[in-house]
Amino acid sequence: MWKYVKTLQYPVNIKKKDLKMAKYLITQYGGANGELAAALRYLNQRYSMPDDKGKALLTDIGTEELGHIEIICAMVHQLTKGATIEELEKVGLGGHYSEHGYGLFPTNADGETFDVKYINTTGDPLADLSENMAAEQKARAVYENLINLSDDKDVIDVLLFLRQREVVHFNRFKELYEEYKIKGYE
Amino acid sequence: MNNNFYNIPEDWYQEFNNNFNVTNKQMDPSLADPKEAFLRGNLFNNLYDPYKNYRYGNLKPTNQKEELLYNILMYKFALIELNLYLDTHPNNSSMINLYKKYLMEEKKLCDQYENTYGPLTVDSENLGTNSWNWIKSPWPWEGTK
Ligand SMILES: [Fe+2]
Repeated sequence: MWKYVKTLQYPVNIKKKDLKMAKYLITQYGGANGELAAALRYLNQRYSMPDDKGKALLTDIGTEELGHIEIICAMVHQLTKGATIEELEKVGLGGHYSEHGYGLFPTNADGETFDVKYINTTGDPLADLSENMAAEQKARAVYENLINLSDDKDVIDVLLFLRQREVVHFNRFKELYEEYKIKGYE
Repeated sequence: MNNNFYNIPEDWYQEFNNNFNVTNKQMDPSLADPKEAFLRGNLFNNLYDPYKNYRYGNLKPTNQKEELLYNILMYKFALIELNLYLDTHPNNSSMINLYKKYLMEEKKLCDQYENTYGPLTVDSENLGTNSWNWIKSPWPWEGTK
């Protein structure tokens, strides 16, 4: 069961409209390495974790990722606030507008919709945990690309925070992976 | 503003820095203070991995409400970090103890915030009597622009 807390994990207060950045950033919502995929992957994999540590860690990191979805969506929402149709068209968001208007939708930076295949699960704890370690590294790399694409401190500070979370998550998954390997779980 | 955000009541986390944990017969990881941990997104000094020359953000509260909220976020963050750590190190009693201390602080600040600014969760003490406070804007994603 989940309980909503009416605050972001890290505040988002973007003052400057930037549709291009919104178009890139949306991939951390609906892209292969995005927060939606991460949240669903961990919350889905937890059912086949072999012991209490795994069940807890996948539940708790999965829950944190739900909060990260909200941060990314808040950023996209604020970056696109007050955009005109012409402005959306100019950065290639005309297609998004025709399908979704001013609504949010999980796609990658090229507008491809979220694919449930991103929720990789094999049911093998070692395979799933190494999948997750790779996923955290890929998400970290995408955050770095996004930081390189931005020149707005209001955006960059949030991305630095989220990037660092991938670093911590990677290490927690790695600890568990190494322990499971010794224990011989498969 | 009393600038609470910059004052950690007690340097509890210091106990962990270079402390040998008798129960676990291992070194406890060195911890950042809760404020630095929150700003940089990482409580654990051995795991912190900055990107290029970027310096992490330095959230400056612009009013009392924000100041109180950032304090709450700071403790919530430390709690998440300790929670994840304890998931894979469940027998570290000194870390459990620190978790409880931060939890106490976080609860205190949440009560204080909710009494003045309205509920953070829908099981808050301050939901209103004639008017349902829960629905009041701003919602978290709206920012303070
Ligand atoms: Fe993550």
